Amino acid sequence: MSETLLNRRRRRWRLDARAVGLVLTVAAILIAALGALIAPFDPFDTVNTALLAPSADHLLGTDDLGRDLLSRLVAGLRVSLVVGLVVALSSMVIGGFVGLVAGSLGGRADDLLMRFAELIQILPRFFLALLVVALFGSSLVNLIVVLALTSWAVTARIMRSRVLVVKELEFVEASRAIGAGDLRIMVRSIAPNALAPIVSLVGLQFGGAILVEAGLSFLGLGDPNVVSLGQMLSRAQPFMRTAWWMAIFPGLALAMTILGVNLLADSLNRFLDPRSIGPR
Amino acid sequence: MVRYGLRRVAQAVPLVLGAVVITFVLIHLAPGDPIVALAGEDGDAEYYARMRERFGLDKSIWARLVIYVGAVFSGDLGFSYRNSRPAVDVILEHLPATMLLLVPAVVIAGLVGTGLALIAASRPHGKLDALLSSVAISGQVIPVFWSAQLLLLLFSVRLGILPVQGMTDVRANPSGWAAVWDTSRHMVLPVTALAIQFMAPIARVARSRLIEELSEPYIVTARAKGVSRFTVLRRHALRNAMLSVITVVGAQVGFMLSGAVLTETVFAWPGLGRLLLTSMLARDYAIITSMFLMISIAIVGSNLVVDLLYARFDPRVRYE
Repeated sequence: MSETLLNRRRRRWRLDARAVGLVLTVAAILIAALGALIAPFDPFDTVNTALLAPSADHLLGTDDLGRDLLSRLVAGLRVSLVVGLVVALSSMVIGGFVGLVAGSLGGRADDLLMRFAELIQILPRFFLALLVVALFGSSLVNLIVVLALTSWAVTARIMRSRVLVVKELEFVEASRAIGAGDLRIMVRSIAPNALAPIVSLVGLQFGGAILVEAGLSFLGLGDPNVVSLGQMLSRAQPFMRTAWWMAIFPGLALAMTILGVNLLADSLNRFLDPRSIGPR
Repeated sequence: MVRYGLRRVAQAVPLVLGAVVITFVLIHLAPGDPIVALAGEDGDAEYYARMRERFGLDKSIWARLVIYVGAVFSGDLGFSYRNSRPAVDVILEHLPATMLLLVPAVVIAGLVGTGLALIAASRPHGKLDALLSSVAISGQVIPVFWSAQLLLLLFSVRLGILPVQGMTDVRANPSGWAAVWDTSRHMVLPVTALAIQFMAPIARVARSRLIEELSEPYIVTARAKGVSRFTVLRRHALRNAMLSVITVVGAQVGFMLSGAVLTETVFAWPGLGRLLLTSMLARDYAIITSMFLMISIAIVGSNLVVDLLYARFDPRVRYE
């Protein structure tokens, strides 16, 4: 197979993935933001007969308590997106900071921080979140805090390895030569040039956090005061025979959202770091 | 090799210790007085004091930490009030049922995932590769409890060819080979759901490693000597790529166990998942803390095993 043909095939698949990722992510955000337009019901309120199949009145049907499924899906999607966004951003901020400090300072500080990151990385996140929810109560805030505090390790390691490369580059030496201090070099020269690879991790963290939240709510350990897609799926369980829509739509919303951010992150990664396109 | 192994073991100890300390800190930060929870709210001050002394709660936090770490390392992870037995015993009792799902799922995922990767890597970036890549991605983004529900919906509810839930048929109560057959039928759907989830990362890593391996000079040499494409892929590239498959499996132990817990819930499987749920409802926290600790230790252990295997098969690692 000729090299150009191979590249063309590769590019086409990439383009598709990027488009699909973008469409799915934008769709999820739009549904969460403008959902009230298509689903005007209170997600907690009984509005009609229980277990109605999808119809013009209730586009996705009603659940076992007669609540509008679409309205609940919109509310649940909002929760998922908030969890994903907060966790992904804090993973970037904490991980970026730790990685920058560890890589720039080196020595004992580096050793210590990286050992700590290793510890955080081996902790089983799902079971840790479960433990925290058990001990501190199931609130969305508790859950977000645990996930945020445990999702920075990978980011920190990648940031650190980039910093180690970047700080040896000539422009860093040049800014040192014109009299820039350590802090200035860290913040102005090294950080911006090392950030690219961790940006694409955001998508993975985003999807991972959504999955943990959904999993915990599926077990019935989510925040009882908010609607969650996982909890909707666990409600669907006893009604598998009679109301398939209760299981299909929330799951679809979850899977599509996670797929969207994953694909988007993947193509962002290739865009920010063209080297990764090479033979892999 | 021995020196490398010892160094790796020494590096694993602080990780286990760290997990224990984190658990301790969490338990102590948690709101609520454990003595009040245990003895009720109307006990008198003297009784509370006696209980506090008995459980060592009158000592300083550092002393308690030392006691806790000592207890954990001697195998005492806490006492399950609901079962009136050590938490470790209760968990170990529920482990086989979970393993009955996990082990076949991992084996199937490993075989099928590697097989798919071989197909994909034999023609990188072709149509089939794109298709298999999408399959791998979907395995990664679909929550395992939802794919489990979909399987249940299709094969048990719609088609009615497989049992809906549980581990055995309660009404028939079979024995001998009939019982084995019965349990296997109940295993099919949960094992499939888990295997689909585990397969995704295995296929992805195996594929990219195979393609990487295929661009190495020794492959060109083998091809030049007249070895067929397929044989090169299977005998040369696959052998070298297998190590990363082992790494993926080893690195996913925590992820696999959470998957198992969720899948068990869908199929009412009597394993760790059910134990976890009943313990949550009964506020039997010893079970939950112990499970967290045991899983953390299992993860450190499996990472250690993977590292040692890696060093065994790839001598370069030992001298780094």
